[in-house]
Amino acid sequence: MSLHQSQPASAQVVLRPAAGHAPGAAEVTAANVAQYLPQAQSAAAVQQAFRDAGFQTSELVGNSFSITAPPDRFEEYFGVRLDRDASAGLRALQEEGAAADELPLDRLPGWVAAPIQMVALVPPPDFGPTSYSGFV
Amino acid sequence: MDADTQQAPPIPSPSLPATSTSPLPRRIFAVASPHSLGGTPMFQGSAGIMSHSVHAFASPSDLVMSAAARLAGAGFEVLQITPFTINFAGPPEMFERAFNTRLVVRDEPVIKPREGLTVGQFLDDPSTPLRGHIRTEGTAFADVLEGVALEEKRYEMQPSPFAPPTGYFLLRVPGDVSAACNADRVHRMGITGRGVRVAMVDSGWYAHPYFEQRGYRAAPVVLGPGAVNPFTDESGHGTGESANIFAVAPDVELLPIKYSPVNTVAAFHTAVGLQPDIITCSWGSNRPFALEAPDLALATAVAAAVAQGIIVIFSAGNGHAGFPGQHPDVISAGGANLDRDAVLQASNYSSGFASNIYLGRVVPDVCGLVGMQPRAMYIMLPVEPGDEIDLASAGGVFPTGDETAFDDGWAAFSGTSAAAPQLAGVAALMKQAYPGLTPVLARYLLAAGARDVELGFCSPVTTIHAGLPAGPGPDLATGAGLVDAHASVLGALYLRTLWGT
Repeated sequence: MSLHQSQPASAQVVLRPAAGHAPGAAEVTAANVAQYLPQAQSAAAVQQAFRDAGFQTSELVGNSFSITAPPDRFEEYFGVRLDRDASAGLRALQEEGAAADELPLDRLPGWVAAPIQMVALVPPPDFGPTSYSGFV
Repeated sequence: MDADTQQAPPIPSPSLPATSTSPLPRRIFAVASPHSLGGTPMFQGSAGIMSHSVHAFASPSDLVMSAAARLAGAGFEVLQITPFTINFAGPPEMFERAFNTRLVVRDEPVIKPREGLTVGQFLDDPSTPLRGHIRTEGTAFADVLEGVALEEKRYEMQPSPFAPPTGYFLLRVPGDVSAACNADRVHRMGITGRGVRVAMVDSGWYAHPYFEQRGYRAAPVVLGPGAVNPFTDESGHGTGESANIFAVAPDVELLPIKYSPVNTVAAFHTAVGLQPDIITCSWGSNRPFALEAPDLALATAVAAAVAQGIIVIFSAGNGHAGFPGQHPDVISAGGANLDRDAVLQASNYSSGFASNIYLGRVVPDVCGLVGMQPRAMYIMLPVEPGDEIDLASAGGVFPTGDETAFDDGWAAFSGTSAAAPQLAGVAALMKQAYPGLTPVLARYLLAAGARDVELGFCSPVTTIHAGLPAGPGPDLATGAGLVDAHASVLGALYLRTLWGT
């Protein structure tokens, strides 16, 4: 499906915890969430870097914030081609033709990429508003 | 006869509203009526034009054609000719010159879609008592036209604030949902959710007359990053499910957050940023065995919100191993069904399961009211007319369709999407009763007060099981059972007597 430039794209920037180690897949709860929070100063700097690059940024909640911009801004900044899939949402096309749900960090300045654990493209939910017509 | 020199006598119109400061449009559409065969002018106002009498308002065809030629000769665009009327258009100064009059714009109250009661602009000739009517006496058109009507902007009809009838049993909001959640008794105690702010992250919120008629309070829709059109709910899901909150807690302040379906984590962040007491989410992903990358961010956001004291409620799923519905910090909303005979059983549309991701976590915690397979058409809810749900559920006879029109702004649906906002409503009642309510206490009191569900099976859950039975005591199919607002609020009040506010 082709991308409409007027339809904004978004991704979730997940930051590394201040302690340095990455969270496990299912470990984060209210009891231990403080261990997974990023260093506030570096989080603010990364947010500012994305704003300077033409992205809108949301507030930081937990360990992530979102970035929103026209798709071509994403493609230029991250050096990828994006495609919109009706069921999977926005996907990054790789050279070998596969689609990924993470954006590569190698084109970003080193100091911006360093505190970032991943930049994830969020798929639509499996149930809720977007799947209603199928009565899933 | 010279149209520029003839002057029609002015007729006072004392009851008409004041003129507007809005300018006249560049192009005005109008309908002219050639002299009627019956002798009574079409624009006489009190004329009863019905099928048995309409022939009297037709005009001789040669007169119609002559009138059309006269209008064209004066410079108007003739757009359509019928045996009754001539549709034509032109700039305002052409109308004023041809009919020896002065046109004005009036502001009058109208009900606009998505805006409710507001002001609309209408064209008028102030020399006539009937709004929009232009007289032709004394003009160059007097011998062919009996009058002219200025066209006006029409607005889409608002949906009814009252649900349509159906030929099958379902629950109606607010009454049935409130009664079935045992919230009526709480309301009579003066506890209605007042002062409690409930954020709902969903497809948006449409200002349906249902909400306005009942005086429910919703803040303006906040757009999550990437979302657009704050006045529209293209799906109808958020609008409809929000009625479940108000049914249980009519005085809460609803904070609707519209998400982009491919940026849900960010919309949840937006909700947290509003610092509500409760966040309810009727959506999720199927995660039977493992989380994916964006889930980690959402898990952290949920945990951070709960760590701040925000009560977070997610749907368990409709045959899904729902995430975040299985996150340990959320209150997970399952489904129980109460039929016409008040028989209570597990909803076979709703998920119940033991999480393979969070070991020891069983889902759901407690149930709301949910319909049965195949389509869980169980609660009649207000939606935006003609939206996705209105269209998808309309037509056919139950359970193929919900027996409502495709554009009437009402649809029958449920799922655990309905259960989550019902639990949010009960949590709001508890929060008013005991402002010190924490997320952990809210989950405990909801479960402690629930009505046990002993019959039926929950839905099969993808790749995990083929349906689990409900039985005496807590079970995987329904958790602690169907939410009971009265019992849970009594628990909250007891805590208040123990610990103060």
